Amino acid sequence: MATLSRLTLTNFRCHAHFRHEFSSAPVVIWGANGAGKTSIIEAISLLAPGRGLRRAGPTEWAQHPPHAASSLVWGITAEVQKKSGFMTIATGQDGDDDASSRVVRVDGKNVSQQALLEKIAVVWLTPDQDRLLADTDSTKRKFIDRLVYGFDPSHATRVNRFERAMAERMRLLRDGPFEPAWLNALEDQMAQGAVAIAAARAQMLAKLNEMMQQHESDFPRPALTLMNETEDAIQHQPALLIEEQMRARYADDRGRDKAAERTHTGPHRCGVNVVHATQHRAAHLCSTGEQKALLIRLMLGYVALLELWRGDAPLLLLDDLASHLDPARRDALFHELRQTRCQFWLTGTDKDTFQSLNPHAQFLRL
Amino acid sequence: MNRFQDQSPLHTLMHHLAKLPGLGPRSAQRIALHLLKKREAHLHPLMISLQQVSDHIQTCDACGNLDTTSPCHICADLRRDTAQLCVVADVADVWALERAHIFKGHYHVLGGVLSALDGVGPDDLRLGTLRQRVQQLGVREVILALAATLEAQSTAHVIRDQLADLPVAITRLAHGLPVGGELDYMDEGTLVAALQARR
Repeated sequence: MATLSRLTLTNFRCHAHFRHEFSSAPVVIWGANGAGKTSIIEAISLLAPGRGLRRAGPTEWAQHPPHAASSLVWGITAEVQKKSGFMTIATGQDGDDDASSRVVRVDGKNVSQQALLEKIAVVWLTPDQDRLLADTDSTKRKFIDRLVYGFDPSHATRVNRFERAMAERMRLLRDGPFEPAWLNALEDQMAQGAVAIAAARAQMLAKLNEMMQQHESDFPRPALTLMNETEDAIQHQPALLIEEQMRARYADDRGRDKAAERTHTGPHRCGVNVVHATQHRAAHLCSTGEQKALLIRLMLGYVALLELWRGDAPLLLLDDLASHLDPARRDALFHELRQTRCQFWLTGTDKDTFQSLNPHAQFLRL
Repeated sequence: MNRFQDQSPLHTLMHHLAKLPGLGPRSAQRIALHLLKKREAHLHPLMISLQQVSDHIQTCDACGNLDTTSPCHICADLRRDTAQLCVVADVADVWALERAHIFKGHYHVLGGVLSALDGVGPDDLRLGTLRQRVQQLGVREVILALAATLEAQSTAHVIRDQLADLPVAITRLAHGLPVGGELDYMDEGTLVAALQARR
């Protein structure tokens, strides 16, 4: 399992300087509102590429004005112990000029954010995601893609590349010049990307659904399906044939796409259908509490799958999760979390909420 | 910053430096202050060098390379093999290939790659003259030494299309393992490319 054994924050959010050492046991961070609990697990979420669990940016991460005497605008350093040994992951922004980018270093060497996916998996659930399974297809798709990154780090590049090709094509269709060879080139790359994205999503969801079916849980099981012709076709047709069909479709759709100023076909249009598997009810028709329970089950299944595939359990960040569950479900959640090999992190305002974890967890009061 | 500073030559210098690729306001400030501290060692030689570059460096009319003459020393070199033409995006790519001392043919510098989002179209690149050069030089192989990015690959696709009717082989650089790279550290995409391009 991956254990975050030491965390240091500098000028990050409300933490001018924070340093703490942790064992592999579950971590409960508790304290009053505004004490900086979520900021700590947000910092851990930045050990993955992207904008973290609050979907924020450098201007929000940096403490204003910086308190700690440091050349860092803001910085996060984590020592992580894995089966293969220790590594130090650092991210932040030093006194450089480009405020929009964060630098990532692994064992002192600069790496891309995407390279973090190879090093460590970080999974989180926040109150903002409570109704995620009933949210728009776009939000669910992004969530699914994020799940795929955990297994297949190149999926992020694949999705970015497809989106860029799509944007380039749309700009050409809208503003010209009308260069058939250029359009063909972009559509060729879109077709290849579309099939690869569809295959990666379909494969991950099949394994996730299977994993959730195999694992007993007190939480209701969601069944997820992708609703898109490419994702459907990939199940029973050769990829090269689908690519060919996609290329032809993009060429045929040029006029229609130009008129609507959007691309009608592709993985960006894929719907995600989520159903309560035992009640056969669409997730958006379930109560808020049930939706949250479905999401927890999905997360537990995903964590088990990550463990199996990567050989290393992820760091699991659960922001303010326990307080919204009734005591029975809460205890069931803690029990199931302890069955995983994850180092999991919980936040909350009331220490008593985590009483049943007491002998097993490390408590940090802020 | 007060009004005096806003209008000072030093501020103007920092303003210009900050507009250079890879530099921002703070780097510009560091460079400007350093130049002023080391006037004899760095500022004056830099001034002379900039003036010389401005006066003497020109773009080769044939290939797009930068040199003191046009045609450049590569295009003018009769020992170069006219049967091979290597297409690159920028002059820096010519320098990189020349450092390797392996390629003895001619170059064609496109001056960028196609990017609709950045407003770079075929007319902004040396695509039209590429076909002419292939015919005039009697090129038998066009080597596309372009990156694996979306934009570079689109450009490669368009070049292939434009040259499709000419009796010329179109090849591209192999994608795969860097020399000295360890398999364990390669991403799947690189490994797939390396396996497919094995020999």
